[in-house]
Amino acid sequence: MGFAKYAEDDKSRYHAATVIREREHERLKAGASTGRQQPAKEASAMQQPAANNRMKEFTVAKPRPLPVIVLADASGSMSENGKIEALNHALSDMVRAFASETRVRAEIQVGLITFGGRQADLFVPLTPAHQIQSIAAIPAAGATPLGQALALATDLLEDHERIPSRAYRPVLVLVSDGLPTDDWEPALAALEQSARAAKATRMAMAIGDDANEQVLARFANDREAPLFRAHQARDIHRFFQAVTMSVASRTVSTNPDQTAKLVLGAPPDDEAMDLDF
Amino acid sequence: MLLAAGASVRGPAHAESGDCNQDALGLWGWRNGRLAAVSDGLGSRPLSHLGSQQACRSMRRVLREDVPWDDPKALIGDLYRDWLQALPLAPSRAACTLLLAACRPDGDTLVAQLGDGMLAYRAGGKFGILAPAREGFSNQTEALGISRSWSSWNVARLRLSAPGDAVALMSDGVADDLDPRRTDEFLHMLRRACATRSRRRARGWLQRQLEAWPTPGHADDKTIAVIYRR
Repeated sequence: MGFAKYAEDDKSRYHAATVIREREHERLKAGASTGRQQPAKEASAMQQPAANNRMKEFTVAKPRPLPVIVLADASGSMSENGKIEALNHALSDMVRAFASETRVRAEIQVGLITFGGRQADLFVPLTPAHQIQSIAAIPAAGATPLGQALALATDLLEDHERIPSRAYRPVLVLVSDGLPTDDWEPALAALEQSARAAKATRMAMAIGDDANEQVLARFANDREAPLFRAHQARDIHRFFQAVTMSVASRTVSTNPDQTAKLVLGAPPDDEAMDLDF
Repeated sequence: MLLAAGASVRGPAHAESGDCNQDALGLWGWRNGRLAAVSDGLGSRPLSHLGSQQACRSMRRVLREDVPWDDPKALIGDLYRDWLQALPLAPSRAACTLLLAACRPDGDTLVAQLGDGMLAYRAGGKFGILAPAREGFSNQTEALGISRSWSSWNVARLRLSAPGDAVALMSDGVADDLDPRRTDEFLHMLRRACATRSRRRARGWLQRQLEAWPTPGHADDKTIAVIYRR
């Protein structure tokens, strides 16, 4: 036995003896004050959490976030044929479904960026889904400033405060029914070339025949989720249901960074939603 | 006197799926100095646990007691070549990160890091973290088998001279869940907890701490190695 090892063992014996002596002392004192002695088993069970808690004060008390950011077209054309109503319903359903997820491996956070009229807005800041009570209905009016929405999304994704580096790869979902009315190409290029935002998974849905599919197809980068085309209100629901299932499956997956295939369910048999775009 | 302790535990996600721990830990005495390596196999690569284990073995083989380390670039190059030659499969299938620390008895220390995780130190009484915080998101990292560029490495020479000096190597399963404002205190607590125990008890204590990790929803494998001056 080397000297170092001997010294360590000697120290260890001394230290262990001191700890045991103090523990016994505390136990006897507690027993005397309550009028009974605690069983040794009970005492050791009480000490277990304290021993386990040493890391607690130095670690983050929240699960890793899984951000889902929706870029929703709120231009005037969305108010036709019940498109915006269908989108509002689908978004509310998605948030409700996320809120009920068990958060086994990740905490789903939802952010909503709308683009309609003169500018894009952060309609719902990135918030844990279970903390969102409800989402106000998105009003639809004016032009389609997609470029501004993309710039807003890039800013959000690049912000280390709002999306920490421990977060799982975020999901960006773009929904639009028309042609962008601003200079969107530099904004998309900035998103694609940024150090951080470019790593997000991007999905897109084109609503109706007037949607610029080229723009949306260029935006989408997830091979598991090619551009989805919605021709009826029910398709909007189907798309968001598929997004919900894809994201929810990641929260219980052994590898939440791996995107799941977008599986679209059968169209619901619902006459009230049967509107052609 | 320089001492060292370390532990590695399989994360809940791998326990659930029946996979093995993809992290690897290496700790060796080194003529009264200490060698430590922590490697994290990439979850997306099927045989990365072989890569991480080999990374620790390669480090031990290359960093012999008499090796000069005035040229860390050459040393890291030798280590990487040894890893590539010893691997029985395509390097990209066994990709892994690597954090290493080699401390001579006088406190002269070489530290290096490729990829995720954290190497925190207190040298000459001053606290520091070797690599800047991750730029992207979780599980997107440089690794052996992916990056072959010297610029991907973070390397430094330290001197563990003052009592209380220490180096801690942590895989991302630990590092990502640490409160970034309290890393200095965490290192201090870690050193104290290990210094007041024998080597065996310190290892057991670390093991229990990692098994009872407090962050909700944690999934990753977790590995810590600490070299400290008592």
